[in-house]
Amino acid sequence: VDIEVHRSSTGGLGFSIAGGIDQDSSKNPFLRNDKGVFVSKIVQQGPAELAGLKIGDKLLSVNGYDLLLVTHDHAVKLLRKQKDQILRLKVTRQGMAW
Amino acid sequence: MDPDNPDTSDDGGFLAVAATAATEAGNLNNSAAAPTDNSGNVSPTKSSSSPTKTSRRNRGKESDEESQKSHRSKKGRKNRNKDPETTDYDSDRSRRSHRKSRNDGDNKSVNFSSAALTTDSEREEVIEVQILPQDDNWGDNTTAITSGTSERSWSDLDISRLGRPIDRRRHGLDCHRYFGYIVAIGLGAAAFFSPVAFVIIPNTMWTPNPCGRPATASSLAWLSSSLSWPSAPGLSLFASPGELDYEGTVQYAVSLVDALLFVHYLALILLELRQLQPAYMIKVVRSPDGASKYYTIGQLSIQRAAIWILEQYYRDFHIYNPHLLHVPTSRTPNKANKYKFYSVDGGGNNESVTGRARAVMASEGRRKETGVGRNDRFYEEQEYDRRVKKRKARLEIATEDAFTHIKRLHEDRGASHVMDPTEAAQAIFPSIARSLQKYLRVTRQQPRWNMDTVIRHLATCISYNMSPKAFLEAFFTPGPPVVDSIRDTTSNQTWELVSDTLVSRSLCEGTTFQLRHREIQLQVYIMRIPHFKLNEEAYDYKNNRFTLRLQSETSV
Repeated sequence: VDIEVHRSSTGGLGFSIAGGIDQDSSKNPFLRNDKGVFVSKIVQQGPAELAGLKIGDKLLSVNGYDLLLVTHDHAVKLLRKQKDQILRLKVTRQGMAW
Repeated sequence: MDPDNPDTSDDGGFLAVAATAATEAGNLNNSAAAPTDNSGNVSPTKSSSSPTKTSRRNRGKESDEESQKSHRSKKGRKNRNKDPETTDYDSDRSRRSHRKSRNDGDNKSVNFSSAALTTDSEREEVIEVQILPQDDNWGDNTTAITSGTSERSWSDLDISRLGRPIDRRRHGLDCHRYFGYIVAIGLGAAAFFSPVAFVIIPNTMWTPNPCGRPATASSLAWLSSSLSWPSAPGLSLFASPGELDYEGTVQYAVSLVDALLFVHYLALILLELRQLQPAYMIKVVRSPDGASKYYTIGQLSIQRAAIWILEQYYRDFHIYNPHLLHVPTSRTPNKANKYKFYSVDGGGNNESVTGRARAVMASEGRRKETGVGRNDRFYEEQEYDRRVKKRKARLEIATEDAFTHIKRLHEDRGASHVMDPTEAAQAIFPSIARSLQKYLRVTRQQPRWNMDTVIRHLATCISYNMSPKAFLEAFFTPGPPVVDSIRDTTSNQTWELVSDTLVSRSLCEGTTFQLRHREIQLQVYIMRIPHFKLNEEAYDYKNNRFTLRLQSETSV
């Protein structure tokens, strides 16, 4: 379970998310039938990449807001709301076992 | 085709019987009266058409001309000028129309010139006459063929000359239409009053009256006779006055009445129901301007179908404006070919270009010319549409101004000065006259409207408080041809039915025939409606649920 902290400079966080409880989980490229929110794209040299976020990370929470059972829009709203602060994301990644 | 034959023969027989039985009842419409004429007159027209045709063939002068024409069409046509052949064509056309208008039986405006009995040579001879002027123009080397006009275009003079000999014949033959009605009324009256005679005559003429029960018997005799089957019981009454089996004759009369009722029902089915169920799809194409419509129709004979089609034609088709076909091609005169040839090998001596180069340049010149000519018509039509729209818009503006002017006047004056609608129309008319005239000229309707008709129409619109658009509607959308025929003085429109099968046959898929009226030709094609096979499927709306699966990606 990783904790990534990164800051936004211009307003964008530099990554795209996919997934949510209202999405089609059978098409999930990272984990089949997982209704979580995943990172699907990362902007080069963006704040997310600099902070070490990788494609395929599943977001567990952001600044204390739970992202495990949220709809896609809700996750987007949460992430966008926290944009100009320091975001603390809890993510989990495949192959990470501590 | 064969299964149709016994049908139509039965149809004809039953129609004849049913028609004679039902003439007095009067509850069938006049189409029932027509069968008496049709079935009665089909054979006379057939027999009369053949003698006229043979007589025409035997006439010396005409046969000479025809043989000459057939000769000319088959062999070369070197030395013929243009003028004598157009007059020949016109005279032959008028002669043909004379022949056709002579053998009409039913003046319900369809002429049956059935070509069923014509041999192949006669059919060819009709066709030959039509094709001739076109053929003869080709053979003439010296005429210059210009692009806009077609060789088959007739001048207005020819059309008016054609139209007049047909119209003049109509006045004396109007009584033919009412003849059927008169006969039917006469028969009906006779049949109605015959039972009275049956009751009166035996009682007055024969002193020994063996009738035991006159009351019921006379009522039954009345019933049978009033349905126009008077012969059998009446004859039995008159034939054997001595021994009178009254019970027997009464039974006989009752059975005959039953048979009559059955025949009535059969006639109803055959006449109405069989024709109302759609079985065929008919496509009607009007020849000079290509307007077409589709109709569905039941099982009818070709003659009846022709009448029905004509009724629909007068309702549905747009009015035919012969002037609209000759839109002016281009305002500018024919430009000369501006592709000049310069000699390339100039030098000192202007020697001419070689043969091959000249041919190449000529072909290029011709290509340029046809390139201009290919899009010519398209641009002209665009130009025409734009002009019509421009004038239409100006006309609308002018009439709206005029109508608001009237309304303002009306509101201003109030009850003090009440204007007559015609006065108001005449006051308004000059302000819209010019734009109206321009619009009419562009759409070529000006022969239909002159000043007092316009003023009258305007006065009616004003008196009923109609809007300017309603007033203009009469000019923008000219109605179906009924309008034109109402305006004409002759309410009889003569149409010719041209078909290569027997016209009293019923409709069959794939046949075609033509209805002709002056220069309008309606070609009718018959198609069959496909047989529908309807499958029913139960729809389970309760179990029919959907899940929505989305995949979206949003950048944050």
